[in-house]
Amino acid sequence: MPASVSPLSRRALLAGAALLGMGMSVVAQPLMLSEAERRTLTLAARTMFPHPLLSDAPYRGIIDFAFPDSDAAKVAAARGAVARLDAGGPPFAARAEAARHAALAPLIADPFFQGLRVGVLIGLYADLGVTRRFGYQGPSIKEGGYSERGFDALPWLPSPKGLEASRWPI
Amino acid sequence: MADLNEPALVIIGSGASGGTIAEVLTARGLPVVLLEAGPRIEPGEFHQDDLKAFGQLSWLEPRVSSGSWSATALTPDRPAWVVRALGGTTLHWNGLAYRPQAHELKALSTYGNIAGATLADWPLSLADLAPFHARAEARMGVTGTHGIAPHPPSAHYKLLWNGARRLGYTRISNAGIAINSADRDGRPACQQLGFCNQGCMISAKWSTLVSDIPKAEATGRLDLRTQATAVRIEHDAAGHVSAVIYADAKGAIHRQRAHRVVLAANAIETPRLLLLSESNRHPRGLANGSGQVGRNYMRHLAALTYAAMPQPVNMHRGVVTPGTVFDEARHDPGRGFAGGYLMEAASMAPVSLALLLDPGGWGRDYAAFFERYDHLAGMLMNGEELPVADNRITLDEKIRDARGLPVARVHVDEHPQSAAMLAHFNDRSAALYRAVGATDVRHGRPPSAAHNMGTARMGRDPANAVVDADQRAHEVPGLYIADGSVFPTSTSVNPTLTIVALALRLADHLAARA
Repeated sequence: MPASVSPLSRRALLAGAALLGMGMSVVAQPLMLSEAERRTLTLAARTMFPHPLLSDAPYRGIIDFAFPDSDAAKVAAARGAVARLDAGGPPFAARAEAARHAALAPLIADPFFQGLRVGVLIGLYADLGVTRRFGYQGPSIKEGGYSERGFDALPWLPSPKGLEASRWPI
Repeated sequence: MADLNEPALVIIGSGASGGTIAEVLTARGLPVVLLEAGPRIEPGEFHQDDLKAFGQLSWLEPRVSSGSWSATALTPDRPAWVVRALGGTTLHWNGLAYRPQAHELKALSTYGNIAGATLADWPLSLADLAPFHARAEARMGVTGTHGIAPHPPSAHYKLLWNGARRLGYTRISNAGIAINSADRDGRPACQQLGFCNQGCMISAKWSTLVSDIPKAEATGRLDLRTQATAVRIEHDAAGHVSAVIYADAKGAIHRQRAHRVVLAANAIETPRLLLLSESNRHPRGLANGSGQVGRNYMRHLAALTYAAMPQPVNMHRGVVTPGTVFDEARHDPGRGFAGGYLMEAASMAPVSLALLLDPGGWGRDYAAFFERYDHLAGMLMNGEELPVADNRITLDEKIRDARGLPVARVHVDEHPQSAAMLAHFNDRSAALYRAVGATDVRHGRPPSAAHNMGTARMGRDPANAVVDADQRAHEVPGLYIADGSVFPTSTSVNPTLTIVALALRLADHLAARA
């Protein structure tokens, strides 16, 4: 084990133990999120902002960024959230989208899920790889803006003639 | 840097008013000390990314939102979205440079007494301001004035224009924008980069950063100090201003002696600084014998309408606010409210739109709206907000800034008539988009304020105004207030052009008495 990892892991263990109020018994519990837990959180993210155009990959990327295994407190909070999503029925990941939406609705105001909602919103809609698929084109400076690239293209409606567009208003 | 002990003319704030005054005075041979709280960020450093631009430019020191407006819940530590950098909020403004209407400067006479509002007539008429508006338009390069060509209509503007025409509106224009339509004043023509609010990377948009401040520097008479946060204004035994205390980037405190002080820090920090400058002579805050400092805080009444159109619009291409419908700006009490509002086409980047349209939104219906991003069009309402005495800036009792001073608490309870104006806007804006085939129309409200006005109002009577018609503090010789704080009412139009016009008028006054 590289020397640099060791103190991080110990700190993570201590933080996790403190958060869970479980003394050192937490050592027995793996602090990494399981693949099944990550799958559940990925589907929760997808349920918040579902886009049929998108694979699970951008949602999974947001979850992995938000809940790194190195952060025991976040892992513990995420694990608690998975338990709440799975409660009262078949596992969240096994449910259809409408049922997932229904399961999320009573939880959405909770601080954890609000944090996740904002994180997913920003993670998706500030990701050019995502928003380009919706027709956004991103930064334009390198292409010299849109003055020669369709800023005035609206072929499906009439264009104002001459100064019709620009009468001085007030 | 000039001698701190040599009394100087000190301007606090480098935005629309402070930057303008610095240019005029230095051009006329007068030395100026200009204090700016933020850093200098050059246009090449701007980001074409809303989140990065927000983090780079915004005033992010804490403030406190209070009252029943949505900022209290949604942006509790950021009631207003303004800039903390050289050039101030002219870095992220959208460039809409409209003159107010004559009757709007006589709001009390025109609208009459409205319960719960503290309406007033301005001590200046539109005719008084006209020469200064004209000079401001020339300096800023406002399209449609002084022979400056309008921009070619963008797709997003054409959509607004078509919808407005189908509703029977006639006062629709893409003129009145302080973004170069051709090379002018050493700055290039707009290349339709989009999202001018992120800061214009090519300097086609007027800001004091790229126009007035470099001109003032070229005179050799500007003593510019960035990351210099004013914390107190002092007066001498006779009551005349005598110094400005400021903290530098490292927090070290300096005392610049001053023979005159021009306060130009935007309508939240300006009253905060006055309140922080209490003294034995001014126990309620400097220049606050009237009790009006901080009161009558006005934003504009703001709302969003976004619509999914049957064919692409690509609103992200080009000038961010490419044109406006003015028909609802009239005063027509038959609509159930006093004053009027503008309907300003306004593009928004995906992440900002998703954050703002419904700040709690989620689920398939919400997400589906953004999936059609290239088909979306939208507008902002800019409506006259009535002054209300208890909508005000005070010093927060708990939260302190990095220098240990109480931050501004911004309290807003919307006047009851605001709901009527909002409902009218929602109805008319939806009708406009439906008239051109919108399939899905949604409404929202931005939680935080963009325009800030009224907190040091201008008036002839020292008993109910902070500054006189020449923007001199009634009670403190040598102290002037230059920013939108002095607006007695908010009018329906964006404030910047009138802030610059008033700054030019004040600069003339200062130069004539130098």
